[in-house]
Amino acid sequence: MVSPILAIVIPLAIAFLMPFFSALSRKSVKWVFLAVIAFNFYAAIMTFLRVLSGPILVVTAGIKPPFAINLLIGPLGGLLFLLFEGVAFLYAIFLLKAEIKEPVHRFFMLFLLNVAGATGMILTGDLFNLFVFLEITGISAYGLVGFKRDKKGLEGGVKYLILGSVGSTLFLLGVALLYSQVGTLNMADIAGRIWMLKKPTLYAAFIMFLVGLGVEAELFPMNAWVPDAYEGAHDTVTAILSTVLSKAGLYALIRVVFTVLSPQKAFLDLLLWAGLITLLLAELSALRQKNVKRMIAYSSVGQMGLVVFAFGMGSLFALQAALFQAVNHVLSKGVLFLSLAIMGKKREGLELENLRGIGRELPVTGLLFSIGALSLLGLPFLSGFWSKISLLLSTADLKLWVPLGLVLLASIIEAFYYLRTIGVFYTGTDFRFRETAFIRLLPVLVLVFVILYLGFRPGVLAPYLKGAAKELVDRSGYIGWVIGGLKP
Amino acid sequence: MTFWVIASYFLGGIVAYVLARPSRKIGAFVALLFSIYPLYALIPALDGGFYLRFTVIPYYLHLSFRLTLLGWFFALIAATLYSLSLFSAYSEKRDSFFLLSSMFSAGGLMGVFLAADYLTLFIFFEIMAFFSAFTFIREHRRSALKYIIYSLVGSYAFLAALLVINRSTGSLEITPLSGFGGSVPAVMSLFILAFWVKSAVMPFHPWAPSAYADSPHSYTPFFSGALSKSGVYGLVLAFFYIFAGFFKSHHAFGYIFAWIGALTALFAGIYALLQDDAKKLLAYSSISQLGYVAFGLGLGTSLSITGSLFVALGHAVFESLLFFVIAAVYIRTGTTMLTEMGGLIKKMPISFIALLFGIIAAAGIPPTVGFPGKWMLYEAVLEKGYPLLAGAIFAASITAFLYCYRLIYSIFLGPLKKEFRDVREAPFPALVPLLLLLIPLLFFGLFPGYVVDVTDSILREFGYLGVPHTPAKLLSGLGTFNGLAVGITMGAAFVIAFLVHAVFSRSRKVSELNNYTAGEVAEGVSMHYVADFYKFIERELHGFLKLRVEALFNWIAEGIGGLGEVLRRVYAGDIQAYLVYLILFLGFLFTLYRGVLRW
Repeated sequence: MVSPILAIVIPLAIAFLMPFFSALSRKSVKWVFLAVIAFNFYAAIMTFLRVLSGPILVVTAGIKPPFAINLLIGPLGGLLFLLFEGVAFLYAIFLLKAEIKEPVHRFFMLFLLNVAGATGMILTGDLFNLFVFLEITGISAYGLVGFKRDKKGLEGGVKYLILGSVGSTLFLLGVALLYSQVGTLNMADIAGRIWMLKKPTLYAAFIMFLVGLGVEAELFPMNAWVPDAYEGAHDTVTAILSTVLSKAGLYALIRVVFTVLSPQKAFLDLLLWAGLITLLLAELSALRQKNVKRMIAYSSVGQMGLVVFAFGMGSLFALQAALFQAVNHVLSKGVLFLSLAIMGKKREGLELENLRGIGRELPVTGLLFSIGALSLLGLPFLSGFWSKISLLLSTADLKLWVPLGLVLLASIIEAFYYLRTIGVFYTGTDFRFRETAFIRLLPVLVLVFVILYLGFRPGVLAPYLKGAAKELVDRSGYIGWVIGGLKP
Repeated sequence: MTFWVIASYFLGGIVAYVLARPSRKIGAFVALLFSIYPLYALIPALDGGFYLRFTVIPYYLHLSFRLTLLGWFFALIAATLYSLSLFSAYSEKRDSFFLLSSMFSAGGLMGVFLAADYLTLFIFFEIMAFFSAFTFIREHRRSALKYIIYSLVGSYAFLAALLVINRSTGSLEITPLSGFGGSVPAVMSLFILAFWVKSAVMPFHPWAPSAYADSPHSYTPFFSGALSKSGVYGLVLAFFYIFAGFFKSHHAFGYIFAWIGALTALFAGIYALLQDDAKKLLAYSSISQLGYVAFGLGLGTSLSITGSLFVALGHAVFESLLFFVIAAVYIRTGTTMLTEMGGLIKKMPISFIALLFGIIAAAGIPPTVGFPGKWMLYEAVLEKGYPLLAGAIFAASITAFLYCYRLIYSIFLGPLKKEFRDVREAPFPALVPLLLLLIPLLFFGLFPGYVVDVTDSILREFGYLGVPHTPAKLLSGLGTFNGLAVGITMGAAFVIAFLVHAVFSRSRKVSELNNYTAGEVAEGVSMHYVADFYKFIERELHGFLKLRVEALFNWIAEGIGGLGEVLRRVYAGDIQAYLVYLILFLGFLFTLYRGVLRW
């Protein structure tokens, strides 16, 4: 039995030992990194299996909550934990053969910090602790984005840094506001005392949290850093930003709104429309992009908007759909960014024109990219279809006809630019077959396998999604787990 | 069994894809085997439908299939055409990915015809649309994208309709809908949009000419003859089954739809006259024929519906035949442009004969499959007593004569082009579909009653009376048509004329090169006057031709693109601007909640 807390502590500790490993042997760094992430993955699997029989409460310093920092892993945390560590593990394999600018050990150090921070964000049960992990994740991410130290990377990094710090400051302000009123930082404890808050305080706190966490969750208009940062960053970094980091930010936002603040109708409506506007703006902006990486960055923003929109609907069914959509977004964007990284090695620049015929040159990569994109568009029998259709079904259940039409419109736009990209990939005939190393394809293959598997058996996920959605809806249950009965 | 009818295509697509990599022959052969199985399975299933439900997805959704007579009718057409198109594809040396995507599209089409619930219908509709676009997205990205976007607009409208239906009835099963009050017209419009687009009835046709022209030549017969039938199928289902109650009580709707169909038939016929690309000509011809179908469905009498279904069958036979001929000609000449061809009659006699019969049917002349359906439509509109509508549909049939003549003249008649002196008849596999399609073309023309047997059963399922008939004879309120008698008369007339010609004519045989200039061979001058064949019509209709609905759709697309270009500037790349956004958003939120926040 592995305590989930180790998945935070070990990466943090090893991250700071990276210089020593580097001094020992420069090649060992990436293996140490892989080993740590593999351990995290193992811990995530173990935790996930344990969560099936009931939520886990981990206390620190031997004091029962609400007095010390505690971790609480319910069905939602377990699911995201598994997803994050699984994806990070695949990225770690992908990084084995990647070209990384010196000093390599710093890159891996930042990467480990980032994974540790994101893991911490989804496991912690303490609001201030959440802020700390948000900062760890954010600061390591700024470093990672600017790591290439070229113009684009630095530009993206700095923009992210500025917006990110404003965001986390606002978040901290929100935390302070709550603390001043209820005198506790434990999320379950605050949730139990939220009635003590006057309405204005509640709303002000919500605004702080929304804007603060909206930066990480890529909500409009706080998401302006995304295209620059995604385009400038190292490919794997872009992948982890788009999959893990954005979901960690989203989780924080959802947890705060649904559990801590109680989901008021006004809050949910705002989430719904913010998500919808984010979706539409991002899809429209992606339409005329020439650079494929930037285009996918916009698409990533759009997908986050879609997920937030679904959360904003707030029904149990919609929450499941939102979580499913989030899972699919992780899978698809992982595939897209990694396969794009492989393509980028063969051509100069990722402009669409430069990638003409790349699907003939790299048939496997091209196919995997196409499957990832088609899943995102919702081609039947790929996992993206099921999440999209369930999302639309829940929209219809609530009779939200206008948003439904807008989501469909956004889907058409998305279909257009993805299919155009795929079309360009397969244009032309005189290209030599030069497929890349298998070890780099392996992570993408695994992701695509999951997409196909879920495409034919989406029901496999259903019970976990349901459990996670119930955890969000059932506030008193969550409070009960932490404050009341659960044995650590 | 229904499961295997569909699965055979998907399985076959994958197997053929794998096997076609090492050997194209084996791949094509395997694809053919897998595409023949559904035919074999479907033919005996004529008597009665059966219902099969299996849950592919153990989520809250499931797929279900059933075989109805209507679905069977269309599925059989589609399965036949697909198998035939594989012969042509083999001659064209199509690659493994083509086999995969075309088989998947055929499987999707089968799923549409056999679906028992809306979601299944939607799923297979999507698969069909995507994979049919994939057959030509590599060579002709623009037209493929255009096609897929039109399709998606239609199918998402359908999706919206199915969500509304699911919300109000709690079920996705395809059953007649009654109730939900005043929103029926809206739901029905959303519902039929997808099928309207797919059957390329105006004004949602602009995707069709470019998609038909640019799709692989061997795939176009299936594309035009079978895939578009999914649209007809959906329209029939909507008008006479799902929304039958609404449709019967609102005659105006049917009347308007009949007009849309008639105008489609007429306008598409006129556009067809002016095309230089043989495939575009046929594409407009195809749109025009489906206009007849829509017209008949709109009229909504037993005779007109039977007529529509008959035209749908006839269209599948002769339009595919014509496209197959173009595919065969293309294999040898490398062009589909009418102005670049000419005089191929002696070089490709079998193709010529096939095309000849094809255009006879397309022009609606007995005793071919093209006539009985149109006869029934004319009778139906006269019975109903809509003179203007009758005028429009008669005018449409004139355009068919004109473009058909241009087609055969430009390709096969006139002087032979120098570069085609060594052209041979198309390879045998490419001729197989031509020869095989001649059989139904003549048989159903002589014995239309066998088709009406099936359509009668379909009509009875929808609560309509059948059309009185014997195997060769059709009866309407105004008269009778005897296919066999007409056929014998026509055949006899042809034999007599031929004998007269053989005995009394004093013609002298000259080479194709000198019959235009009285023996003077003018080298380097084109003697084949097809370039501005219908110039006078173009001149007369100049003003009308400028009115193009496509321009409107393009304008909308441009507008969305332009909006994207503008909105892209929101992400100006300027951090100060971003900070301003953030602050403005904060301000906006505080204003939004000002009522609550005042303390």
